[in-house]
Amino acid sequence: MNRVGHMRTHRVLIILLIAIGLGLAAANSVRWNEAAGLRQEIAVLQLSVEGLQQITSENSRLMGSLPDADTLSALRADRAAISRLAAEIEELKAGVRAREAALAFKK
Amino acid sequence: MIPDGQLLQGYAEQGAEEMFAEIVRRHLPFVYAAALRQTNGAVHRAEDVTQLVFIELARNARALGRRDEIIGWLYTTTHYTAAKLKRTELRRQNREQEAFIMQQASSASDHVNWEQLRPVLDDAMHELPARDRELILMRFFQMRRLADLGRALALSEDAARMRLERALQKLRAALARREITSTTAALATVLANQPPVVAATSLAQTVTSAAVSAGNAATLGWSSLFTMSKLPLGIAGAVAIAASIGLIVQSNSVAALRAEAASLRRGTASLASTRDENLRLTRLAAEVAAMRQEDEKLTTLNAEASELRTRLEEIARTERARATQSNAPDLSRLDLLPRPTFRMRPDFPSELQTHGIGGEVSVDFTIDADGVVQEARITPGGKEAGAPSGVVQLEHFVVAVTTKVDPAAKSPAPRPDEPMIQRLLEAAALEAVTGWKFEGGRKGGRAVNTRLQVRMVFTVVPEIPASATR
Repeated sequence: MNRVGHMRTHRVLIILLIAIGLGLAAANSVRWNEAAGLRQEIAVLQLSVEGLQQITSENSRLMGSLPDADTLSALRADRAAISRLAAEIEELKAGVRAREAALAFKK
Repeated sequence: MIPDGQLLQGYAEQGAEEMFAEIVRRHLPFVYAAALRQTNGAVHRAEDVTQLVFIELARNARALGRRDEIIGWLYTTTHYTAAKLKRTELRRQNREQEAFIMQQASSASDHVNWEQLRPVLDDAMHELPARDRELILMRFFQMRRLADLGRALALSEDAARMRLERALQKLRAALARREITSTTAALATVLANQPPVVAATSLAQTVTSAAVSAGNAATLGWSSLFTMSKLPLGIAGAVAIAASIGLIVQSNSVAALRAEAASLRRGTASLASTRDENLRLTRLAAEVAAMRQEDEKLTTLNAEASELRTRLEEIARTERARATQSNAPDLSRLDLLPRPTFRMRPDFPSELQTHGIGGEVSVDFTIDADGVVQEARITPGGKEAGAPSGVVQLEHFVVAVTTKVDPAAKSPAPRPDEPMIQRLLEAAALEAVTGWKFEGGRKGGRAVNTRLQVRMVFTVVPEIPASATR
């Protein structure tokens, strides 16, 4: 191969290597951006996991503080009884007032 | 003969040093002569100037390769390079030249010689337009024929001669301003007969190698990147390998990050349901707390309702008592007073019996038409209160019990207080009276309601044991 041919071969090789280098740099850039995005997502997910742990712990505490099913039913029955009792008390009060007034009148 | 431009082009593009050497061989005498002239014959300084000029030529080989003729550029560069070197000596040389010119002026004539001309020639030449200067240079310094000049300048030989004449006239005028007077013909003669200058043979070699190496260093750019053999290939290969390694590392890192993100996503999948559960539990806890508070209220409400019911019962009793009282006839008008048919004896409270405690209780009650006791109640005012009008006072009902009393023995229980004693006696009396039966009072042959009152006396008769009497 003469000198000119040799030079051309070198030139082609160098251009090829530069092209490969540029391609690799572009691929690296894409990977870099993807890694940055994933790191951000992981940070957000880690926060979510922490939040989930806190909520789970809070749920356990709430479950422990709540009464059993029977007590809960009794409390609900009491609530209904309170309503009835309040109405009855009103009726009783009205009855007492009326009969006291009648007694006072007869006296 | 290969033109200068082609030689330079070949050197610039292919690095053909032999081509540059040919240029050096071709122009060295001219450049060296010019340098020698401009350094006033200082050989070493002229050699330095020559070397610098060819170095500059090698550096600008690519740009100058587009020219057909480079003699003008060489001449100008020689001038400026020499000017730089001789600047420090210029004043002294000028004084010497002035002295020399003054000396020569005394024998001034239309004839001029080379020694007069040499110190000022180059300055005068640079006052000329470039085209005129190149014409003079080609004719008198390269000794080219007029026909040759005509071809180089695309002119006829006559036209080249005319232009050369005009250029010489301009040079003569420039020299005249430097007090060197001459005719154009004399000037042409002096220029044509200037002493030859022979550059040392070793100078060409030195200049060539120095210029080529300097030129290579100067042109180490994008084009040299392609002309160099191993270094750029090695560098480019190393960069490509480094980039590949970086890409692999980066890919691995991204894969690890993806796996971590996927794992975290799975971990947080139940977040929404857990949050809903938390909401439900929080609401339930709040509801329970509220219900517990209400539960405490329930006790109060129950007590209040109970109180109200009691009050209603009292009112009802009062109403019944009034009704009974209003129904009871005047005792003086009764035909027959009620007569007890069965009187149950009250149970003496054991607590009082133990302690030998007695007492009196007055019970007020009504006998209905059937002789059944109604509305039995403790008479307000106790034993001191007498029977009100319209109420039949029955005889005292004595309840006596015998209790063994041992003064030495200690009581098993503490003695009850007075209110407790009274309550116990009242309860026993009411229970007994409620069970009493009567033959009802009659008026006009008809059974009527009658109000009665009875005083019950509870008394304890101590029975002292025989051992105690002895």
